[in-house]
Parts: sequence; structure tokens; C-alpha cells
Amino acid sequence: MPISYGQAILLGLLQGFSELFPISSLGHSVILPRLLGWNIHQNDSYFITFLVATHLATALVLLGFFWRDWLRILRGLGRSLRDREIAPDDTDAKLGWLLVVGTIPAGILGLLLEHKLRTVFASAQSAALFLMVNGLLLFAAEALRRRAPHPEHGDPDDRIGRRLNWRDAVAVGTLQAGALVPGISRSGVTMGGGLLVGLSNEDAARFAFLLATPIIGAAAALKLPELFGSQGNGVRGPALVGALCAAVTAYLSVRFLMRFFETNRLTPFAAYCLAAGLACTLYFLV
Amino acid sequence: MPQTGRIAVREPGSARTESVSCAVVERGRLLVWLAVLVGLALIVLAVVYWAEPAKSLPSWLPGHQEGSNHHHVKHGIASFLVGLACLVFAWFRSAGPRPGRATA
Repeated sequence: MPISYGQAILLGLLQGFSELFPISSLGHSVILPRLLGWNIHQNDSYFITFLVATHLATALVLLGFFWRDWLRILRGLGRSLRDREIAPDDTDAKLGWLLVVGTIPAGILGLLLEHKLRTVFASAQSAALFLMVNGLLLFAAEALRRRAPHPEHGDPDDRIGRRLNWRDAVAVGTLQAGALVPGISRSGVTMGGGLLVGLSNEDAARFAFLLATPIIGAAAALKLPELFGSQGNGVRGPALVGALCAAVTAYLSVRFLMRFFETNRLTPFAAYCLAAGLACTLYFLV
Repeated sequence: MPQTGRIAVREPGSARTESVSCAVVERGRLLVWLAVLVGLALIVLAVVYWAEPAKSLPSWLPGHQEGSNHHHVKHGIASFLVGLACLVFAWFRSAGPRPGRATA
């Protein structure tokens, strides 16, 4: 069996929380097998199939966690299409279109560049280096933020809708494509982008999680045939176990992070990425 | 005969009403038609990507590869999404003035 159940449990638990914490799940999935001496590489077809399952689980957890919000957002989108306008007081429609506008560039870049970037940046060494870059980006986002990190009151969707314009949504959404490079965190760059365009930590995290759901879900859905096709032979059992573990840690992570960012900042994650990236780089060198 | 004068319009998503010239309105209409044409062309292109193998694609299209039977499904999805986005843009931009909100 290419991935044992023990490996599947560990990788699933890691994927679930590192996908939502701004610390790069792909980077950790590349670095951990190398650190533990496992013969698993991110370009192995069975490992990609395994990752599809864990990503799908994460996307479903996000969808489930924000299901009421998604229902409101979809209704808002429907209303605006029917009326052929986004009414000024329709927060759900505005947020929905901001998410659509933010998802399109990341989706296109992901579709066109994913394979090439995966091939170029496949090694654990480059993932460790980019983990350090991720740490620096998070530090920079906190340093260059437009809004002071005070807790805020009122409806977060209303605040996001008022503070983001279409250009901001495109910019923040495009940043997600950075996560195609192992070591760069999707949630990290989108939260950082959110801070740069004037959102608070809490709103930036909320927008990042909402923005991540369609992209992670679509990327996983696109590769589902590989899980159920011949490529999935021998890996479906561990993939299912890994997906369940990922679902548990993803749920705990999103609950924790939504509370954490009400009063806290990206700085601890930036420090972790910088320290872990540096330690792994040195370890791989010697 | 060219249209002259000004018209009051409201931007989607904004409570503000602005007075703009008819030339701007004409340009807006042109943009709508352009978006519809580009949108439809991209959706047709998506179908071509899905239906034809890489070797049968026109040589000027990204993804053309001599002797390859690979179907560029992802290129097709990207093309379809951008096409759809153009059509949605046209749908919103082509909405006429609403009663009580715009005056000629």
C-alpha cells in the first residue's frame, strides 16, 4: 500500500488544520514526509489522489460551517441577477459578487498553472524556503495594514461589503494563486491581502474562508475522477481515513480561528512559518 | 443624427445618481455588445477545447500540440468561466433605468 493508515491519519490531521491556519498545507504535506523519511512525494499520482480526498473534506467542512451564510449569499446573488442590479442595502448580494469576482482570477490561474508550478517547486527544500517567504509576507501584511487591529462591532458581511470594492476583491482573490507554490499559504495570503485593503483581522479571516470554499471544492471536484478511477486503487481506504481526520481538524481549526482573529493578529503564524522554514532549510542542508 | 444632452443614471451597487452625457451611454452600450460577443466566443472556444484533442486545435490557440490526443479540459473550464463572467457583466450593464431612479 503506497500510504499506510498511520501515515494517512497523520497527513489528514495535518492537512485539515494547516489548510485553514495561514501556514501552507501543501508546504507541510511536502516537508513532513521528507522529515519523517517517508517515501511519499507530492507528484506521486497516489499522493495527489489522497490530497484530493482531504481537500474535498476540508471544503465540505467549510461549506457546512458557513452554510447559513452561503444560503444567504446564494439568495443575494439570485436577487441581484433577477433585478439586474446590486441594491445598495443588499449586503448578501454584494458579498456574493465580491466572492465571485475574487474567485475567477484564482480559478483561472490555478487551472492553467497548477501542474507547471507543482513540477517546478516539488522539493521539500523549496517548500521550506517558501515557508519562510510566507512568514515574511504575513509579517509585512501586519506591518502595512490600513486599519488598526481593534475588535469591531456589527455585521461582518456588511463591513466587508462596505470596505471592499471590485478591484480589492480581484486583488485579494488573485493572491490565492500564490498557494499553488508549496510553502505559500492560501489563507495566509488572502488574510494578508484583506488587511492591506482595509479589513480587520476578523473580517479578513472570514472573507478568506468564504473565498477558499469554492476554490478548494472545485479543485477537489475536478480531480474526483482520479480518486474513483484506476489511480485510486490501493489508496481509497487511507484516503477516506485521511479525509475524516482532515474534516475533524478543519472543523476545530475554523472554529478556533474565527474566535482567535476577533482579537488577535497574524503575527504568531508569521513567526512560526519563519522559524519552521528556517529550521527545515538548515536541516535539509546538513 | 448624433444624440446630445445629458442623462441621469445610477451605478449598480451605489446609491449615488450621476449625470452623464449620451456619448457615455453609447459607449456603455458598445461595451455591453462587446462583452456579449467576447462571452459567446469564449464559450464556443471552451466547447472546442473539450471536444477536440490538442493536435486538432488551430495552431494559434494555446494548447495546440502536434500528434497529441490530450483534451485540454482545464483550458476549456477557464475559457468557459471567463465567457460566463463576460455575459454576467453584460447582463448587469444592459439593465435599463428603473422607474423613479433615472430621468432623461
